[in-house]
Amino acid sequence: MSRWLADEVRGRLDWFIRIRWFAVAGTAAVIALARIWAGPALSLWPLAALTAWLALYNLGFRLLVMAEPPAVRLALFTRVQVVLDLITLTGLLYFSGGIDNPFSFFFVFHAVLAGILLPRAESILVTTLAVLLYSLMALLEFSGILPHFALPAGPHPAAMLVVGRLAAFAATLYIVCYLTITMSERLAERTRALTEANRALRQADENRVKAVMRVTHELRAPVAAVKSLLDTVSEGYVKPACYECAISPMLERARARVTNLMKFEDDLLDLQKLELGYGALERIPLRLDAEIRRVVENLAGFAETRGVTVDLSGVEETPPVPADPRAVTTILANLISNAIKYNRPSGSVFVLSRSLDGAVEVRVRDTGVGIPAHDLGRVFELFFQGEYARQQKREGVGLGLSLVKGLVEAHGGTITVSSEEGKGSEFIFQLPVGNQESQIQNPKPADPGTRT
Amino acid sequence: MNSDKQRTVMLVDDDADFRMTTRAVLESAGYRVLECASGSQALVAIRKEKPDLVILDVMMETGSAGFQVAQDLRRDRELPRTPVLMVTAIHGTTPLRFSPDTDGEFLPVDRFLDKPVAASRLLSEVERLLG
Repeated sequence: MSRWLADEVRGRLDWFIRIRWFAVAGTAAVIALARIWAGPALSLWPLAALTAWLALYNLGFRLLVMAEPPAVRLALFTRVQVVLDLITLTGLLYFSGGIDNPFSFFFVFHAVLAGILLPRAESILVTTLAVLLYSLMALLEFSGILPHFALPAGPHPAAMLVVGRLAAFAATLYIVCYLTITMSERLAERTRALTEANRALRQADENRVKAVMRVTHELRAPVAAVKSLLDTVSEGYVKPACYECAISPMLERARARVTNLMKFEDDLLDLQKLELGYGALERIPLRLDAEIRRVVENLAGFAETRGVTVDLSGVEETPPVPADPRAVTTILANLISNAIKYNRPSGSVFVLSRSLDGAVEVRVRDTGVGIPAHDLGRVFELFFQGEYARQQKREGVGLGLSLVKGLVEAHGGTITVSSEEGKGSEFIFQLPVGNQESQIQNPKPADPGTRT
Repeated sequence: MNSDKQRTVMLVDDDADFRMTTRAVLESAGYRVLECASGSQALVAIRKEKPDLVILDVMMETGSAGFQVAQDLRRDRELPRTPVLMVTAIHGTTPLRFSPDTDGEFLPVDRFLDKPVAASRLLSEVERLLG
């Protein structure tokens, strides 16, 4: 049974229990009044005992519900309570005039509540049980098998009869009115919550469809380009004599597009795995300063072709952090290659690392065009690309930074960005040091999404 | 070719690879090819060069930069009516289906093709529009 259903059943039981305290208070008040009015002649002990019994089992249920039993048990409680209530009410009526007691109207509440809360067959069963109990009481009294406990007559029996009837009548109406109001308010609230949840689901679904379209486009555009490039070569639209000047550049571009496409697919898979919680992140003590040097070494060729210098003089020795090596490589490679890519010619990239209290901080700063203030809040959004990034030669689609943020956060870290247009941008992330067992967010050991 | 004069085609696309292949195909058929990598520069270049045909991408600086170029082009009374061949990869992946027949007002282009366009198809469309 779902958590939601358990909460729902618990809510209903709380409600039952609250109503029953009113019943206890009401019965106790009636007994007290009867005592004052009829004097000690009338035996009220059976009624007092039944009221105590009502209070006792209500307290018992209160404690049981508070102990947070499983939902199946809660459903059973509901049924047990209904039956106990019917028997107790019959008992109270029997000891206070039997069939003469006008408060027999109170069985209406049980029929109403059962009809609202229980399945159809069960509510008919409960109503039938009420009819049987009440008829049994009347028949046993009528046949003399059980003694009759007369209503206290007092000095004005006729007047008391009217007062009693009116009291029962009014009480029944008001309580039924209260029950239906409460119930319909709960229903309205539930409808509102469901409508809201439905709206959120629709929105999420729409976003997903848009994302799928966007992904399809990003998958299709490079494939279309590669097909055009290959067709142009194979169908002889470029002069075969000029391999170096025409054919080779086209094949090189086809290769570059396919490489970028594969990178996109890798990022996409990583992002999905991150979202689904597949593939536990490894926790290996890693020195981020060493990782930075390794990643920068791999990007040296790229930096050189762009004429960008990578300055590592700010890389301080840092204590190891427990982290996933592949994820750390992805984080650093994305940030540093972005800093190279979106730089100005003969610009610089500064990578800094330092040890903080309980964390290691890495800063990647570039001397590029910067990010406009209105875009700054969106750079980590899926598929978001700044204007400048879009003008670049179809090298990315805006997955990289989403992935970086997801990975940093999966390590219990944080990432921020600041930028000044025309001067450059700076990405700062921190990964926590020390005992991070509690911060591992991907506890599922199975990895159905693993690529082979 | 009917004419002795070499026909000029302006290629407006931010995808360098698409420009590269389209240029190769068109040049093989004897057209003169000019390139423009953004929608914002396209109009200036077209006014200056007065090409015989414009091949226009849709998604450039913005998702609909090509539409803007096509509309501006039609509104410019100074320009001779230049046929526009619109080419895009988004056609199949957006809920909107553009066609010059249904969106003539919104999309003043003469032909609409999905990327990748086969070389033979491209040449026959270009020839037809210049015919």
